[in-house]
Amino acid sequence: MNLRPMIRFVALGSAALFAAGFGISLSEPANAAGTKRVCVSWRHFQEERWRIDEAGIKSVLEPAGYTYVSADAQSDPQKQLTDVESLLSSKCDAAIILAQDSKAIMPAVVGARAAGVPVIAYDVPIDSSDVTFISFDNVSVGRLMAEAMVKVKDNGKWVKIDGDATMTIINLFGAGQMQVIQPLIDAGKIKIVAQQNIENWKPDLAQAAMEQILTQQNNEVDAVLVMNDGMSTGVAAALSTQKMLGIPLSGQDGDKTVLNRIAKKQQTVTIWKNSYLLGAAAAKAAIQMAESKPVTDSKPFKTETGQIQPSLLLDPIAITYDNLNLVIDAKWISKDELCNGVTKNPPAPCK
Amino acid sequence: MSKLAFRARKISDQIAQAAGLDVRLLAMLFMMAMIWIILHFLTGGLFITPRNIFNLSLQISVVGIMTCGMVLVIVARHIDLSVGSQIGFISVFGALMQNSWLPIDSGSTWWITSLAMLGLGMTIGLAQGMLVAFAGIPSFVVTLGGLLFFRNAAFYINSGVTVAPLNQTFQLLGGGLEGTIGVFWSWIFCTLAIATLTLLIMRSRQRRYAHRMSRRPLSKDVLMISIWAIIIAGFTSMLNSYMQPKTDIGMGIPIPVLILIGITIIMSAVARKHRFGRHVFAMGGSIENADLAGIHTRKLTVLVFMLMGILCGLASIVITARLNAGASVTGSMTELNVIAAAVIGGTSLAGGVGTVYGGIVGALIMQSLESGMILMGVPTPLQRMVLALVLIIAVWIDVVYRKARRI
Amino acid sequence: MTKLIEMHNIMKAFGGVHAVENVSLDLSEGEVLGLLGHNGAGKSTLIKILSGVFPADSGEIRVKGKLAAIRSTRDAKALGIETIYQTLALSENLDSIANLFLGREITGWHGFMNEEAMEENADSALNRLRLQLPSLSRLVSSLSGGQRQAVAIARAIHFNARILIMDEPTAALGPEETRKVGALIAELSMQGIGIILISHDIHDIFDLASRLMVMKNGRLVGTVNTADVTKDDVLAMIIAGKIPELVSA
Repeated sequence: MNLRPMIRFVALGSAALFAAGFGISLSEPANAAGTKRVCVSWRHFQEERWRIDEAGIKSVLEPAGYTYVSADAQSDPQKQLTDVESLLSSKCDAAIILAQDSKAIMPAVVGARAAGVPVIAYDVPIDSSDVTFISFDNVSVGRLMAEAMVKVKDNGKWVKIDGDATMTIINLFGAGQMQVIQPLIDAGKIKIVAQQNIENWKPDLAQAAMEQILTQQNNEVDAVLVMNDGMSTGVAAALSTQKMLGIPLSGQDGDKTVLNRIAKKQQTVTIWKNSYLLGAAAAKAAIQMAESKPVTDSKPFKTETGQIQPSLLLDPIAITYDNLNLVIDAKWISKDELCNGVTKNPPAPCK
Repeated sequence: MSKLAFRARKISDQIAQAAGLDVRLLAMLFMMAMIWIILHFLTGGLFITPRNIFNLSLQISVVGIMTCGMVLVIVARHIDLSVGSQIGFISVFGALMQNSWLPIDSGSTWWITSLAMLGLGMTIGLAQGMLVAFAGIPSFVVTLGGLLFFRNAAFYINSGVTVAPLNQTFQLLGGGLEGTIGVFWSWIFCTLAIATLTLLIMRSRQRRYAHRMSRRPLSKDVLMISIWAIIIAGFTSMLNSYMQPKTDIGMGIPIPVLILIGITIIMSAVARKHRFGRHVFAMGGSIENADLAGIHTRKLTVLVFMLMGILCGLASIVITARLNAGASVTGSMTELNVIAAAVIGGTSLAGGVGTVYGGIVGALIMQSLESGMILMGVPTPLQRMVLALVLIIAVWIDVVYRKARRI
Repeated sequence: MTKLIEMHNIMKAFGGVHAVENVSLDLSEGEVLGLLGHNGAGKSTLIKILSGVFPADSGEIRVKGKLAAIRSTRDAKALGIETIYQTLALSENLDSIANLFLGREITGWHGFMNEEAMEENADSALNRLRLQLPSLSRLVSSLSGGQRQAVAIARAIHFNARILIMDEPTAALGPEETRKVGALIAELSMQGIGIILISHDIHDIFDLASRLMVMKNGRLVGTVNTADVTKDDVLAMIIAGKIPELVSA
């Protein structure tokens, strides 16, 4: 039996269906006239967090009668340019762009502005006075993280585990961290004994790196400042093999497994960005911009090259053992998930 | 340059004749020993210590298991680019299974999950193998599709959310504090290993005698057994000297390392001594000849990919247990490490040539360099650049070596 | 006496081209049959049908009188039909022993090969043929043309071949080695093995074959006894398709 033609037929059929579906999803509906639309270009939708942002955006758009359309660039700057073009061709009233690469996205921004579409730079900065920047204050992220750590231990030998070296956002996190840590280093209280950037923020690479650092330092490490939750999971695994789990450890993103570790006193802090609120704020601003109204509460923000752009910077929250009720109340995590396996010294929400 | 290569080749051939071992493997082991010694000095005496050797052996277990399968795939003149994505997908799947779908505390959860993960890998391999063998699609294309498909599937099945914690028994499969067999059993393993090796060599001697063939001088066999005994005993002793933190109890051999050793031995035996392995090598050398010899090359191709899939499942078990979490980004880009290990180990991308042991040594060399550089505090981008150069140099040496043969 | 091989009215077409059109062949025990013709005459196709590389479109094949269905190379080998291809079909990346036993390895426990047994067998097989190899465990890629020929021949006759097909056996050999191959063929035919020799070289064939079969453009021109014809007659058959006067059917 010659399977080849059949398999090729199935492949072609699927491709055709897929192309049709894709085309339909991007094309205008028959009764397009008068539809109000906000277009969103994601950089890599398939990460834990962006679904929540999306839900926040939709929660404001839908009651206001706006349609939500989106595209996922899958971490490819080139694809993102094409995505924005395709989205614009379906007549957007406002565009929200989460840029994969701040510089490579400029042609798309210029194109949108030329078409008269207001642009919001979402979470990732875009260096142009012609866009509105809506994000969590990423420098705050670093600062709050370091503050929470220092509150528990303000001296000793620290290890710094940073994110992928090719992503410029780590500079913002790092700047915030240093605002708190640098004075202590200068005062001779904290010494950074090791630092590694982890390719692609991969947890297993962070685990191996931490193992090596612990060997190098002969376990004489007092705290680990980790830039995100995924990597902190790897670091925690390495620490636990050395029976060191419990020393100050930080993270970012509010991963459920990390919140659980905080409840168990195995991690100090995670920086929680209620991205639902961010999405809602961006949607609200998008509607205001589409209707040519000023954005409420916007403040001027100075970009890298010194341009001034309107911005909304929300404050993230440092979640520690003492304020876990916040994530429960916001329905970010269920009580069962938070308190799973918590036996000794349960935090307030778990009692 | 070629005259030098030719002379070097002649000398190494003579040494190989004398030792009765594969020259290339010898050269690689020598290179690895050199790297270890240099790293030991550069890290201030940290490299060749029980703790670091323990960590190193754990760190190569995942890539090592996969390399055993990849060698056979490349020998068959195919490639599997999807292995990293397979591990990620199987990892999230396995974590979900024990965390959400099955009772996490139940005694049978760990082996049901493990079997399911192996089965999933085997199924993926079966699908890819069939597309290559029966639909005639080049393996590069099929597995490139697999890479994209399963990387995204890994995010899709749980919306990118990391899954943790995992079943206690399952975690043992990843090493960690409890995941070793302890001092006593490590010595038992060591003894068994040396005994088995001796028995096998004796049996081979006896068989050659029975078939009236010439045997190696007894002194050479004794020498080989002694060298291996020293290596095995040394390794075991190192791992036994690594104490559990804050105790006097030696750790012993970690379970993932036992798995790796087991898989290496099995796959090497299959490749060199089993009819299946022989046919794969023939197919990789010339698929027409293999067909003429009556070998079912299509079935063979499917089996090779299935085997790779099962090993991906096994590697996924280890990496998931070690991390104690199922993260969807796990394994991303790992296919490059695995292919690099196989290629450094002497597997030719043109097919028909390669050894499993070589691949393991290749993985050891790469990981030793990477781990050593972290010990030295080398910044990450520089580490990657060094490893890239090592890969190119290693293959370059191999090309020159093979060319020298033709003179 | 039943013929060793009978092929009746074999037809094989590829696309619209008739590679083999209504060709019949027979071979007796101990006989050496020469198969001659230009490139594209259909000789290789006919022989590939017999050795199982692909099946005929129509026609029948009988081995020792019994109808035979040859659908794969395994089927052909099971019937005792062994082939030595023009390219020798040796795997360069394996050694001589592996090549000898490829596809028919001697296995012990669950498919693991008995390498000692295979080495012993290979040794004696080559000795029987009075063929010498410097080392059996060297890769075939490092052997000379004549040595490879030796391995290919040993492989063909080791497994109790009853019919041996040799495609251009002396094409790549010098005079001394050609003589050796000739002596081997003579000896094998004395043992009762039927041999089909394909060649474009009339001189070699005349010395070795007792009967000659000529094909042209996929069709059979004629079959003659070597003793009854001259080389010129045969040339005329090959080139012009002209049947000589003294032919007996």
